[in-house]
Amino acid sequence: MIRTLAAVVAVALLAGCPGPDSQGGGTVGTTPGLKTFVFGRGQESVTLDPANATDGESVKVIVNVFDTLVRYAEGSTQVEPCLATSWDVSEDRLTWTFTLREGATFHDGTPVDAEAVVFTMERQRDPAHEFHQGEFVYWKDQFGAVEKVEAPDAKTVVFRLSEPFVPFLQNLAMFSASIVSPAQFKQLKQAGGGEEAFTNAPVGSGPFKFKEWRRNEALILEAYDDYWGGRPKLDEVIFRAIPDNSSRLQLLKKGELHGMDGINPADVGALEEEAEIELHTLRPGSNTAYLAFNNLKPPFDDARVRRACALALNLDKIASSLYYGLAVPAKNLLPPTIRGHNDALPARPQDREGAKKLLAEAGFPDGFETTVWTMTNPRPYMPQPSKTAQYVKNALAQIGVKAEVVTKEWSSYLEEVEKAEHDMAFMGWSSDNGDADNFLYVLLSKDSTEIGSASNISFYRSDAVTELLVKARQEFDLSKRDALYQEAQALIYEDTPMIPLVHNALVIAMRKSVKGFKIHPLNELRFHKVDLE
Amino acid sequence: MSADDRHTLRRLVRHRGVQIGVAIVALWVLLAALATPLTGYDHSAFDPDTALDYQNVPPSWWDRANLPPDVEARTFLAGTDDLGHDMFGLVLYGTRYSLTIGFLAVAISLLVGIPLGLVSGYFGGWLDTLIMRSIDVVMAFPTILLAICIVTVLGQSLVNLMVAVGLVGVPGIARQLRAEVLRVKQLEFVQAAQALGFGNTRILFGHVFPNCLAPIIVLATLSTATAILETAGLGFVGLGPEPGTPEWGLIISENRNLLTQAPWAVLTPGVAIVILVLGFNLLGDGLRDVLDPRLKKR
Repeated sequence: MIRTLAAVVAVALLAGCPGPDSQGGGTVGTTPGLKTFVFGRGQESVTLDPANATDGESVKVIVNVFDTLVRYAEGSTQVEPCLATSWDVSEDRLTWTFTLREGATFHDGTPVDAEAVVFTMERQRDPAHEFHQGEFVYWKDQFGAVEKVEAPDAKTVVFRLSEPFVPFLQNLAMFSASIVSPAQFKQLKQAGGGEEAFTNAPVGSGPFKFKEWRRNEALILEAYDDYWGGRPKLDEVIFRAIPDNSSRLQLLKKGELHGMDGINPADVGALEEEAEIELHTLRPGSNTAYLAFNNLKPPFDDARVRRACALALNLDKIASSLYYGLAVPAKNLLPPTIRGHNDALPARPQDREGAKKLLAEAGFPDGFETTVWTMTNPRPYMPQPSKTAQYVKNALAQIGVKAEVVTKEWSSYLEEVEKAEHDMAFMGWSSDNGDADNFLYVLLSKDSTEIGSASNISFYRSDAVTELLVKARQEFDLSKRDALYQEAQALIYEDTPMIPLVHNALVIAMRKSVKGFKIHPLNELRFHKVDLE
Repeated sequence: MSADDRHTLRRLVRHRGVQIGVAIVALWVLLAALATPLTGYDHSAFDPDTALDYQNVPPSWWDRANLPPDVEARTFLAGTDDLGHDMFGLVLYGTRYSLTIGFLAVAISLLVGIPLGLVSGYFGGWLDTLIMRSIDVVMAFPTILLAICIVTVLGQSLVNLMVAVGLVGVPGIARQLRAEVLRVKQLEFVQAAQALGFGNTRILFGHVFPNCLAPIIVLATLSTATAILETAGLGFVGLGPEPGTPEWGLIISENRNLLTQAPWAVLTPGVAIVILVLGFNLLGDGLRDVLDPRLKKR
């Protein structure tokens, strides 16, 4: 009966082991006597080159290693001075002048001067720049209006814009505008490093400096003693990627982690009663989970088909059940927390009969076959990608649309949806800067639909909407700007290039021994002021 | 039916392991066939919205305090998961996948393994060396790893999962059969057939193969158990069918986040795997006790 026993044991192991791709017992060496803060998350960072990062996991590390000219104040999306102490804008709003802080230095010892700012910006702007290596996805959307960046003297930087651009200052606080050390780039190049060299040896001027990155194991930062804002209280910050939510939570409970994000929505209720753990929650967060239709591919090039699919879903149920009540159902792509949100639009009711009628009108009385893509790992806006996909699949089946669920690992997922290879795909967005432009222009303008680097993965190419969004970027009168956004959202609602699903809560769990952590509406995880007891 | 066959059959029917094994397997087949009428759960006509009202409902024998009255009114023998699937219905429905994949995978193992084993054992020489050394190479890989490689190369689908699990079982079948052929081809009736000038094909399939069947039947039964386990393992690591398919390993993997909140959603498919694998193993062991000539008349 040994074989039988073996089978039983195997099943027990199968049911009990943490997950397909978790690191189980990977131990991270913490040096005794040091204040080491360990943060657990679901994914590894992709890159530590701020100008080329597009994913939240990279940003979590970047905001601790790098500084920006201005930054978001604690707990709000208002900007405050950072590397720049003051700034001035010309009457025509085309010239912005920044005065830099005295005494800020990069981790390699070189000063943060105007040259470094020019290097950071020109590298992204100028295709002929020696270090213009990468996609610079954010540059085009957030800084496309920048014509030239100049350094009249060591402490002054001048940005010249080709047109007025409202979110400019807001965008300068974004991670992609993090000031990088030119000396490090030059040195890496001399040493023969390629395009990827900087991501493995990033040098910024933030409160923590990069120490070591063992991919899928640990990314280690250490305190930067000469930080202009004062040395951080922590000595080391370690980011660990633990894909499985439950295993990560176990590690937090055991005390191997001090903080984590990506909590199973199902576990939140029980965690609130946990004595050792404090939950930091913000509901709704400034994020949106959505289901993008590939508007380039039939049958989704027909608005009636897209509307029909939207009518098949019950967003209230998704929010209350699949997100365990942590999320609120979405009307718009733009979350209600962000200025410009059009609250007058009606919530989309579930209407299967109406959906079938629309499908019949569009020439699909018996439905059609298609695919719905989802990622393998949970995202902040989508904690249960596979289950959500199954819900959508089953809901679409009710109106005759047979969708096959396709799962892909995150980096290939991004790559392929940017190339428009999907039919329907789950995606989401967390606000980078608290501005409407960062949602609507990035995700729905015609200008962001370039195959291969699209952030508008619905490939929605409406001229009318794009025109409104571009106008709003230049409208400094905020109430007029709101009106433009509301009009755009009404048009988008009608066209349904995507289905905004829900706005999820931000939930971060920290052990009670962690002091000084505040949740940020943009989900920026800054550890400068965090301390361990 | 010869007297000897009748004797074997009687021994089979009387064997306790075989009885239990057959009972379990037969019961599962029956339950799988009757899943929908039995539990009221219809996987193909599943309404996701009404189901969500019955999210994470504990089994009827669990502590059901604090449930809303309309939820409490419905009983679920094994509870529900967070999409509102009736776990008992879902797992029974999933039996179809596990049994089908198990049987077809073993069929693939046999289809590939039998010719290899026969040829290798009967002809010997360089052909034998070639086949057996290749099989040694294949056996050097851990089976799950090998199956993962095969699925990765072929692409992810239900059919490829079956092929992978099937191919992983080939070496065992081929080696066992070769050993049997080596034994049988020494026997006098084979030599007699050769002396009479029968062709190789006729000797191989008419005389050698039928006398090697017993251990292959045993091995095939036991392989079915292994195949079911391997399928669940691959499904668990995400190399099985698409999400939402009621394949047991996949269900465990999808619901593992519920381990603290709704443990029944993970335990039900786990227990199903244990029982079915146990059934096939009991059956296989019993068959060996009865069919293996070396174990006879002890």
